[in-house]
Amino acid sequence: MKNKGLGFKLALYIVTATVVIVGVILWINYYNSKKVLVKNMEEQADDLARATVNKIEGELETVSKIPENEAKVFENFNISKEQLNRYIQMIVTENPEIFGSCVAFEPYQYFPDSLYYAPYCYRKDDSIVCENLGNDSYQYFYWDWYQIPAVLNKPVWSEPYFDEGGGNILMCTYSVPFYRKNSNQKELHGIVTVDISLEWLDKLVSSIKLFETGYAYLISSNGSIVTHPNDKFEMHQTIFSIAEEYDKPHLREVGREMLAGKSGFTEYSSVYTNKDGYMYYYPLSVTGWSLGVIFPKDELFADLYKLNRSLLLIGIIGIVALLTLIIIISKRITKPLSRLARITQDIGGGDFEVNLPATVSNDEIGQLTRSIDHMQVELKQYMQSLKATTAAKERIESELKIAHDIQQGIIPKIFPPFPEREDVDLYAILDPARDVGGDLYDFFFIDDYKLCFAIGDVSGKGVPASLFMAITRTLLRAKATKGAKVENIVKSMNMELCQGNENSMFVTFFIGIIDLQSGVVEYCNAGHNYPYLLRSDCRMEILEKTHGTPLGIFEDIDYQSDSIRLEKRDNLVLYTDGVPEAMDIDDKAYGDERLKELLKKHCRKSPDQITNEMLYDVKHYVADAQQSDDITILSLTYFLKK
Amino acid sequence: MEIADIKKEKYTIVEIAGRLDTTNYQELETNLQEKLDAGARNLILDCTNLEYVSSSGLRVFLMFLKKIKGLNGKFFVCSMQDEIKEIFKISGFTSIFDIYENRDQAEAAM
Repeated sequence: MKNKGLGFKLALYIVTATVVIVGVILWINYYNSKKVLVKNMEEQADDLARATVNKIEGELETVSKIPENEAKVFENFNISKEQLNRYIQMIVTENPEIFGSCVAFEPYQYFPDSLYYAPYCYRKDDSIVCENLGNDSYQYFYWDWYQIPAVLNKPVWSEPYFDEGGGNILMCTYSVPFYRKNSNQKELHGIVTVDISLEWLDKLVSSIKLFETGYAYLISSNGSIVTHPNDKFEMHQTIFSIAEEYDKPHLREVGREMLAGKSGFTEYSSVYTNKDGYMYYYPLSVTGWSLGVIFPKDELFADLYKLNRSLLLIGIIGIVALLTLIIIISKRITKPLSRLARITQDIGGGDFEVNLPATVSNDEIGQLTRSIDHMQVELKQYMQSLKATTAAKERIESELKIAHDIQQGIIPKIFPPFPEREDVDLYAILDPARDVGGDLYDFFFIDDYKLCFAIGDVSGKGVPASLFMAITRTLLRAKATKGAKVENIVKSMNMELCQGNENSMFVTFFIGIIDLQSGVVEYCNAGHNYPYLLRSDCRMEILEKTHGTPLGIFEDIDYQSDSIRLEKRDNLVLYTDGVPEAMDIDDKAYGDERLKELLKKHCRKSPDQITNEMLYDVKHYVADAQQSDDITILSLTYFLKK
Repeated sequence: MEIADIKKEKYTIVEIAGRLDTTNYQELETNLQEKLDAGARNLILDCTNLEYVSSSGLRVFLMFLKKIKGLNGKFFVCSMQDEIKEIFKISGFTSIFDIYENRDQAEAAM
């Protein structure tokens, strides 16, 4: 994701959001339509079931009127055997909805010598057959269709049964008892029945067309399946046994409701079609039966599904179109961006001559292009000025390097300086804080036994100081001639340095001339740090004398001088303020005390050892802090001439 | 380094605090030059809180000593700490500057 382009991200975010929105719309539409559809269907189912029930009840009522009328006839008239047979035959012929009809008499009631008399006419193939039902193997008065109305003294619709020995089909029978008055007592005389075949009921119920796989079924008052599209259920199953077999507790609840004569609407998954759907049930008041109507969900919602499918299709097409559009738009947006990215990279690589695409628009891309263009121009100028600056800096640096070499070149650098002499040893170091510094030292022989040595520190640092230092050193060499006294050398140097010294530069200066024959040092200190004298027994003396101000301040100054005698192996240490004033990282100065301690520790060492120990200790002390001032050290050991 | 001024009727007291070295001597140089340009002729440099002065700093002192003398003004230094005194002593500046122990003395001398 991190590495994907802007176009991809844009497309992803927008399409994701759109998919969610379309999905929500589809779902809401589906949910609402379904609600409406289910409500409509419930009403429709109610109407349909009611109409069906009315139709069935109408049929059954018509059927039930037949035996009721017959019963009235037989209660009041004695009819001959032939007439009875003809009558029954006529009833069956006239009423195509009935399968058969029977008039069954109580034992010995029609014929005093006959136990059974029950003339029965029924349809067989395309004709009507009449026979007497009663015989020893079909004792009709023990059958339910006879016994129940006889006991209850009222007409009864039987449960469906297989009339073996009678019609030999699945049937239901409506039995109406009829009576004769015998000494003011009403006595049962017989039962008039009409049979309807379940096949006929089946046809009636299955004429209810509910979508493709919807169906209706009837259950009797004890829950037996009267009609069902699955013939196997008829007679053999009750609604409760089906609930048991298929583990549908809900169906058991529905069965109880149906038997209680209630109507209702419920979700139901059919065991017959294995489809989810709805069931509507409604009681048949005439028979105490109940009608169940099953609507399959998929067919019911087929239109809804279809509508949703087309909506989904439209949604997908819309999203694809949107995606294409986004890709095209983002390509158009990101193409100049990618180009600008490449250009910026080129510019970053140092190519400032890149041609930027012409900008016409004033949008963000246009602004960016102009910004980059502006940046390129600025960078170009900056690089040019940087080049110039760098060149100038390099020039100055190389000049400084040369100046450094020159400066280092004008001070004596060869050590030991007088390898042929046994009476003196000397060592000196100049470590400038920058390329060039304002410190100086020098030493040279004025004559065979007189060695002149000097150290100085120009105020400030860098190029001005180094120039002043070079002048000082040149003046020293010019003035320190044979026989000249130190105070006079200093005085004349001072006068020269004061000439045209507008910037009040000055140099602290210490000069000594040692007579190597006697060890006497004549010295003049013009405002310089006091030198240390380390005696051969490690006693330390400080030449604590100032003979005048530093050089370059006032022209008319008279300097004094002093002298001191060096004994064998005595060591004189001269230094500039870069030593005691060297700062560590916390701006704490190295200090005179530390310097004294160090010198005492190394008092018997040679000049180069002492010098290097001092420099090392100072550098060690300064550590990571920047060297703040030039450091110059000069050490001289006197050996008495033999 | 911090520089503070106390202006009096006939002179200005300049208090210098902290370290005066190569990194900031120009600050003092500019400051004092501005005073001269503005017509000041008499200055007292109060060094009560001056902790260190390098040769670059001494050069500024010296430069203004010369300039003010050339303008017939007075340039006093007062209240130096021992370390500063030592630097002045070693460099021989003690003899060329008018140095006072405290500000009162310097002001009295004005």
